[in-house]
Amino acid sequence: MAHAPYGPPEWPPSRNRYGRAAVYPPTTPPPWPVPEPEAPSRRRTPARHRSAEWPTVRDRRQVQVATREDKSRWHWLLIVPIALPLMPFLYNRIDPTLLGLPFFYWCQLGFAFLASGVIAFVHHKVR
Amino acid sequence: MSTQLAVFLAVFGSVTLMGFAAARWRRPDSIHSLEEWGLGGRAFGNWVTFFLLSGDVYTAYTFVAVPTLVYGMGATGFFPVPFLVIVYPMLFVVLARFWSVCHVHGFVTPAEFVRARFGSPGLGTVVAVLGIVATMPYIALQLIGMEAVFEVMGLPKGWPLTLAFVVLALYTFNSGLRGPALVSIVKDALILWAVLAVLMIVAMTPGQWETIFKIAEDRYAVTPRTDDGLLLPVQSQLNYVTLALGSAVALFLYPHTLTGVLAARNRGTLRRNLAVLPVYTLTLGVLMLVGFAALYDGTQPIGGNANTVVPQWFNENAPAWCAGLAFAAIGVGAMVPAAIMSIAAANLFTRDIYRVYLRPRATAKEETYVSKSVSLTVKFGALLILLLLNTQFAIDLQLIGGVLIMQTLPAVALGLYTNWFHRWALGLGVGAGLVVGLFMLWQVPKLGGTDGRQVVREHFGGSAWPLNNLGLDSDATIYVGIVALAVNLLVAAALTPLLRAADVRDGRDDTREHDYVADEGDPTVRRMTEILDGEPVPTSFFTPVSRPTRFENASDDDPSRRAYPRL
Repeated sequence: MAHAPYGPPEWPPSRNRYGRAAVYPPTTPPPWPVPEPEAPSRRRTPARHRSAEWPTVRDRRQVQVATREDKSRWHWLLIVPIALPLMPFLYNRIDPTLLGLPFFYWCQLGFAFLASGVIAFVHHKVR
Repeated sequence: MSTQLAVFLAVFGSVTLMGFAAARWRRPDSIHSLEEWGLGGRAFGNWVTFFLLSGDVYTAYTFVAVPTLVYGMGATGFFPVPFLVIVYPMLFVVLARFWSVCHVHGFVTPAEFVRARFGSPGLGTVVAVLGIVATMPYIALQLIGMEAVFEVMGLPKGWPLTLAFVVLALYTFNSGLRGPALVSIVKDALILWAVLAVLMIVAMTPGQWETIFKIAEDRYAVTPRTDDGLLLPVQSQLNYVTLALGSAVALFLYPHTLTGVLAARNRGTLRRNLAVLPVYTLTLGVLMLVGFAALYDGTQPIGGNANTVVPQWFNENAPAWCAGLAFAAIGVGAMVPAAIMSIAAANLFTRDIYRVYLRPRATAKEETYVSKSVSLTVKFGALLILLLLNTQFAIDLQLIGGVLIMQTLPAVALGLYTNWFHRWALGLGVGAGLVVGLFMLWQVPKLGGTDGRQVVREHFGGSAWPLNNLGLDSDATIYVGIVALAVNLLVAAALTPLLRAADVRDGRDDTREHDYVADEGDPTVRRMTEILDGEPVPTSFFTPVSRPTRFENASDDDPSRRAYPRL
């Protein structure tokens, strides 16, 4: 019986010394760490015919999972220019004024530059 | 004839010529397809896209009505600035995906996308109808902006407006989206000039902005109203924030914005433009400050029409020729979005009602003809709304229109990211949102009088819904659209698992994930090489061609055949 010359020994032994299939599933735990089996998904799987191997017509449409090709963590940065103008308590004041403009006005106009800068940065990073 | 009118007419005349000449700009082989007439061949580069989008978003009505609001209320009227800042980061995330999927599948309208994504022609029709209904009063609002200018120039109501709109209708009919694209360049130059004029005039007033704000503050302190002032009163803050957020959401969903977007040449063009456009909000900001300057100069609106404050301020404080240019900026600024809106509404009708229900096998030429005719109908419908009914009616309709169009968010915007929603859940969500939104709008009374607390009209008086309808003891108000949208989302999200559990059939999704990231040059994107005149056909990538029935039929003129050597 040929053994693989390299790597860890085959476990569980696929064949016994007579060349027959070994006991399956193996009764002893393997000597190396084994990953936990994956918990069954909580997402409801679409109904299928119990006996059929192929999905029925109804399940042909599959809900897309989050494997978008244009996914990027940098997009989260865009929340900043969206959230800041929506918090009036930050800028609802007169002082400090700029060229005579109260803070309320020049600050909100300043957010335009912030948005422009952040979008340009994200565009550069994501491209 | 006054100088103002002469300058206005000169600019208007040259713009009209440009609009007609635009049909020859980058002339395609045939303008008789919806992609050429309705989307300018989907080939606009960085600059043209910038002008088109800015002409689309910053409308004449914004330039006229918003400073009026600031003039009357102060800080509360400043909400378009945060609205037009937060909208661009939002658009940046979704628009590139929308562009890609529409190019791969040849969609011209958002309703077509919804139909393909959720496998539901009915849902597509709902989106199309909501789009058309919301767009019509928006066109009427552009007319209101123009009307204010005419009133200040002393023209009578009626025929000048009709004449201007006949001109607009004709060149849109003739040139399609190329017309407003070319004219919007002039519009932006004029607006920029108006902004510079404001800054120079204010720089020449003694004390400059500081004095202007001081006077305005004193004026607001004198009035018996409690909701005006240089800062937001506590009870207005919720409405300010929700109005900005809601307007931003609605802007993305309006069909005319999406038409402008689809005309861009590639994803990069679009994204670069979205990075630059927030800065354009500064021009709007400066023009809004004219509201305060008008308080300082004691400008009074003409003939009881509050919208004449801005034109009248220019009339009184700028040299005559400069005021003429500012009037032209507003006039031309009304033509550009009105044209794009009518094109967008016409495309919705053609692609999502005519072709789905009336003539499924319509040819490209027939489609274009239908679209052109509908664009005329839509424009004259808007004109009739304004002339036969009254101005206030158009404003109320537009208010309702904003709430209506927001209800398409789950299908159009979230649909770009997931097809998790069930088509029936989406439809019922839209229904629930509409019912709640319309009921709340019906509940809002119109307030008036000197202290702003007398009830002028019982119903449909605005979009700020008082929270004390819920029994809360507060003066705060909230924007109706946001509440209606929340109801819509809740219903759609709650019903989707229920409908799946009940095994109600899902629609079939005709799009793939890769469609949402395709770009110019990607083999799945159709018709990108042939449409740009004068540009060499790139040979570096594979261009899909339709299979010829016989080898002899394949002509040597077909550029895609030259991409590979003959075998």
